[in-house]
Amino acid sequence: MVSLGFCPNWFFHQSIIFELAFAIITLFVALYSFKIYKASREKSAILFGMAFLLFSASYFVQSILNIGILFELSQNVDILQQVSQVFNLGLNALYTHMIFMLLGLILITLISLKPRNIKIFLLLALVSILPIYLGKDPIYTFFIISSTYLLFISHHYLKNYLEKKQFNTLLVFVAFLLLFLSDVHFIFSINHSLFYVIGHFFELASYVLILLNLIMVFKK
Amino acid sequence: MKKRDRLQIIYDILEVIRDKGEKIKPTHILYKSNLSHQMMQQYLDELIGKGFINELRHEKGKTYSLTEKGFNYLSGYTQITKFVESFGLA
Repeated sequence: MVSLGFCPNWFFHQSIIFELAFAIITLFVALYSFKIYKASREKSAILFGMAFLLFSASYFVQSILNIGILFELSQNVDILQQVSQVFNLGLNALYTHMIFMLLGLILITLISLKPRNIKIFLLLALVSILPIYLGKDPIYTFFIISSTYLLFISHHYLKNYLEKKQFNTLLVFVAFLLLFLSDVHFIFSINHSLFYVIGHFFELASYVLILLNLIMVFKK
Repeated sequence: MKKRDRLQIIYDILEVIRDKGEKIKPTHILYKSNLSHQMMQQYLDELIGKGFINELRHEKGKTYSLTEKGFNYLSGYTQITKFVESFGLA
């Protein structure tokens, strides 16, 4: 399972619901970004939409494969075969989730960089994804790298808020700061599973704020 | 130039073209948009590239008209600016 090892057993079912909710909210953000791109032809809007589409895909993969694992565990098959299937399923889900999430974060980072080009994207993708495959602890490496991106992105949104001093910009800054904090909690969850639960609540609060901003933007 | 300014300039240019109807000359856009000739030409090229306006060439010069995409931009301008500003897409 994606969270195998540090998700408390009592929270496993709830974590699937959380991840499905994140997948749906991020999908909404992606679709509205594409709508904005269609109307404005602003390149940054399509990059933002693609980033959130990748987030959505990462959460869908995470939740659907966790559901698959639950299903596998409920079957009466040989225990060794079951463990092997669950391990393989979990490993595939884990890597897919991490790669989609990192690519999404790189796209948002790219929005704050000028000039934006494909070479910078490829470079960031390589230096972010390779350590996950080559390192000894892929989960820990992933959270360190994604936290670094989220810190950089939060700083971008802090600057955006200080420049515009609007409620909407504050919401988005707090949302990305909460995402950063949730990632930091996930780092600690490797040793203390309760942090995994706290991280999910931070993540939920973050996506609710992003959704709230979206509602305010599209409210007539 | 900041994004807000850029989006506002695009809005102003499209609004002038819409208000003048089908045949607006570049000099009129220049006067209304309060831009240098070079900047105005850059914006017009961008707007043609994005499919927001059409350029029509006549014997007496060029005129511009709004496309459906241009009309859509004007009607969705508030949402576009709010979205771009709040999500830091500048």
